[in-house]
Amino acid sequence: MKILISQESLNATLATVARAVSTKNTIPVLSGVYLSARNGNLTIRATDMELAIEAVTSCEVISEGEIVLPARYFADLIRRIPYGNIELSVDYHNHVATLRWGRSQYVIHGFAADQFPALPDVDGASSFTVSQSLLRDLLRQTTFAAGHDESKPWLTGVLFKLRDSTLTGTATDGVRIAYAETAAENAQGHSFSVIIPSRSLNELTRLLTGDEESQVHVAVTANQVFFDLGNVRVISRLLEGQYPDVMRLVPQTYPTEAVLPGDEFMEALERATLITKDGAVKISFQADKVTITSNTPEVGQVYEELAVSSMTGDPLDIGFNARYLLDFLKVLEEKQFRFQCSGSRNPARLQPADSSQFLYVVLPLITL
Amino acid sequence: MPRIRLLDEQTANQIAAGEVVERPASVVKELVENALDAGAKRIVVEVSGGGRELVRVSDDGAGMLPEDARLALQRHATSKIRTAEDLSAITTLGFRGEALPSIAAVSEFELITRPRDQLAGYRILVEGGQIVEEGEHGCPAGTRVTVRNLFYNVPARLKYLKTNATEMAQIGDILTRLALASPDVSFRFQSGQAQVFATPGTGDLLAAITALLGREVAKELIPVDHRTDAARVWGFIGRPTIARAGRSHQYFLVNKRAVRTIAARYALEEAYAHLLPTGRYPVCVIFIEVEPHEVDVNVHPTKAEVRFQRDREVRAAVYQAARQGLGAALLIPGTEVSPDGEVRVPDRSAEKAAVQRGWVPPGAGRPGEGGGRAAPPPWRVSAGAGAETTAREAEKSYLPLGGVQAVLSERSATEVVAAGAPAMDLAEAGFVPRPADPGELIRSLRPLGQVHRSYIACDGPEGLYLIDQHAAHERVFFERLYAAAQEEAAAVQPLLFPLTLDLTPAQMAIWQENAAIFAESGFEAEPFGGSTLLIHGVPAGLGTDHVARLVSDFLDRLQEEQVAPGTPVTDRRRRVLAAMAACKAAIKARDALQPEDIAALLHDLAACASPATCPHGRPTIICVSVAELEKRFKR
Repeated sequence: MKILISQESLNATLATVARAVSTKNTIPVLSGVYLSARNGNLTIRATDMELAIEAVTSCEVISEGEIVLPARYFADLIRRIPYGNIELSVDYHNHVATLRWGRSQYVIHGFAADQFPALPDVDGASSFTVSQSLLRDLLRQTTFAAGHDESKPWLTGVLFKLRDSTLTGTATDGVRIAYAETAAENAQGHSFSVIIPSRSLNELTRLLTGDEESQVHVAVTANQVFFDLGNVRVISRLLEGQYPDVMRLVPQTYPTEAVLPGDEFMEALERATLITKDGAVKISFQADKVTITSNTPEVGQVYEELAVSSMTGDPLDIGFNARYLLDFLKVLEEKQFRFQCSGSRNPARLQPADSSQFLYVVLPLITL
Repeated sequence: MPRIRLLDEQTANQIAAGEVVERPASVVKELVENALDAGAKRIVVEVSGGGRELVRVSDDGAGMLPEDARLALQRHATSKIRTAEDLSAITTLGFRGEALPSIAAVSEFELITRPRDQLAGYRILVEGGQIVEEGEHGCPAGTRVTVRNLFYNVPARLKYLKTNATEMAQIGDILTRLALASPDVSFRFQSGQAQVFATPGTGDLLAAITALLGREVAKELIPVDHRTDAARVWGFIGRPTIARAGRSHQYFLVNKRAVRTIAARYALEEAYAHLLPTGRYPVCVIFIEVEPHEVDVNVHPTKAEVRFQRDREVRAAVYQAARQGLGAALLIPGTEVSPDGEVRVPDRSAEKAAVQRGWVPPGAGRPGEGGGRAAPPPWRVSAGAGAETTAREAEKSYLPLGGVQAVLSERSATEVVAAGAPAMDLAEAGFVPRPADPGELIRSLRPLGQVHRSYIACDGPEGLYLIDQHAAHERVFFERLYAAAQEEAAAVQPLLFPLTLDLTPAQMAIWQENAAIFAESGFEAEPFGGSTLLIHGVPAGLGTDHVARLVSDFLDRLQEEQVAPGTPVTDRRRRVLAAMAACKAAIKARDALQPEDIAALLHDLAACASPATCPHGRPTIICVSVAELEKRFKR
């Protein structure tokens, strides 16, 4: 194997896949990146067996071949090489790669390419297409609410459901639920629900562009999901388990409802959390205003008052962990949001004022 | 023919011997107590063959006239009490007048005695209770009792004796207790040719402790003294660092009598609550002085146990004494506090001089100089791996009896006696801890960084300080939980769907027993069927991520700690919260900490009421002194 490639594209491609490199050192070859030169392209791939990322970039292939190079040395070195072309050649006798640029020459010891796990097969998958920016929004609005409790692995992912031309995502950690939906192009009329690990989705979110024209082709097999972004592919294992039917837990009626300005409310909450213990705040819905109060012994007191755009129903005092409310407000794109409560002990519902494609349900805090 | 007969004297004595003289150690105890009651200032105990072959106790006490000596060998003959009324105000160690005849009945027994004002001594030889020889005998003033072939005529008893090593350990233990009780009497304990220990007999308790328990223990003691109208409690308690796996290093001396007292033991251990890990017990040498008529010593044939009339008040006094001592001491291992209250680098010169004078047993090293624990007393070494012997002690058990340890301690001890044993100036040696706030100390530390994602290294007044991240978190969480539990309003974060947790029957029992405490700390849960717990709500701020693991972890911990069903609710609450804190901290263990995290942790730790230990008593912070560093770098 021998190629000529610009530092810029090699560096960018490495950075794309680097996040999938295994940090656990159980299988040494997984601490490396797989490089394959074929047909004028360099393909770089990394995996930790749960998530795999593969990126393709064009280069001048002088002779084809494959090698696995230790990600740490290789990526750090490439990042520090000045702009310009790099020649990478591999001696298969002892799996050593030689890098040359300018008047410099580096040698890096690698692994045989056949030690690196092959990517799973996409054959027989159900596939659909969704806009990159819409998928990115859906992921941002849901992934954060997933749990981290490894004893309930299915809750550490996002439940994806496809039916007709609607893709929905649901995530919950047992205290709040985030739900979002978006349009998808489902030509074959597939319908399924799978749980995708939130770690994989966070990496995917990072790689998705805000460009509405670009599409993602998603293919789902029994235990893998493939996201094809064009020159980048993200492949993730699916989580097993029975996802709870959480939407059933959401109250149907809300006797108290206010429409509030998102940014102002978020800033007020952020200030309040500075001097509350564990973020516990009390929110009082009154006829013309909403207040945020908190009293932490030996620390201090909080009083924030916000004007409401509209308020209907019963006045209510309700406790929340401010962190859970802030998580919603941070991903809220619209200016106004609807805050609906069903008594001080039942889940409250938050959603953008003019949309029902994103909703957030959170349980209040109960003070004994 | 009548069937019931009076037993002859001989048989009656053998039966009585069964009660009083259980084993060689009881012989030693009875004889030494007699010596003490006779006002001896110097007592030499020689033992061989585990006490089976020979027990000889020589004293320089009052001695006896021939007729007294003969009488002393009859049952219930004693000089110590005259009437039944005297029983209620006993100030002597013995009083029943059973010891000598009992011992004489089961051994070859020789009594040689001379009062100081008599020219000639008297010797009585008894075999199996019968006087076989008596007459005048030249001897020094005092009494010497030699007991050979103990139990030679009671094979049943002989059969139940343990190995020589075990019997020696028992004798050593008894003598240690007696010697601690009388620091003003010089004790020498000799096993065969080897000397096991010798106390200076200067009246200085700390000198006696040093000779008996080793310098390593003596160095880590905190003086206590507390007086109430029920009792005066004084002596020394050990810092948590020298806690032991058993209670064998707890010495309670009630009116100078070494006894077991459950009341005092509980009070002491209560005072150490959350300063010691479970299964570790404090070391102490505590004198309890009460009015003689307020303590009943006649509850046990060997007087091993006592009962206090004002039990509750005595308990309180012990607790207070220990709390005060612990509160005043800066409990950071490695630091010593000068009498003016300042933390300082310990001045080793006095100590070095003492070593050169030979009075500190050289076997006892400083921490970091070959083990942080005291070398076990020589007889314990020979007793080998007892049930409580830790791996560390086991390591040392290759030393044979009379080996290096014995040689060393023998040399030092003889020199002690020869040099008239200079009393140790408490203040000079830095043993007197003064109130110095550990929180202040922690605040004064300059963090340097994290070691192995487990320890925080800091520069401080005395050298290098290392903080155990996990223990520190535990302490911080514990105090937070504890404070929260005191507050009225604990907030509960309800869960959308209850977590189910399958418990073992034991875990479930613990849950139910402590349900109220869990509820007040913010857990909403209920049993669901036989062994399943449904958790509906968790304490606010706990997060939902590790709830199942947390709850199951701390139920396990509580199970291990074996909180007894009768435990009072305050103590129980403390233990439940400590278990929760430990499990919470376990989740944060080995986290990489940023400098601001370290600063925050130190700040939180400094604000704690007892920052120097985790709720289970392990230290949160240790100090490697500059002196220690210099030594390691051979400067």
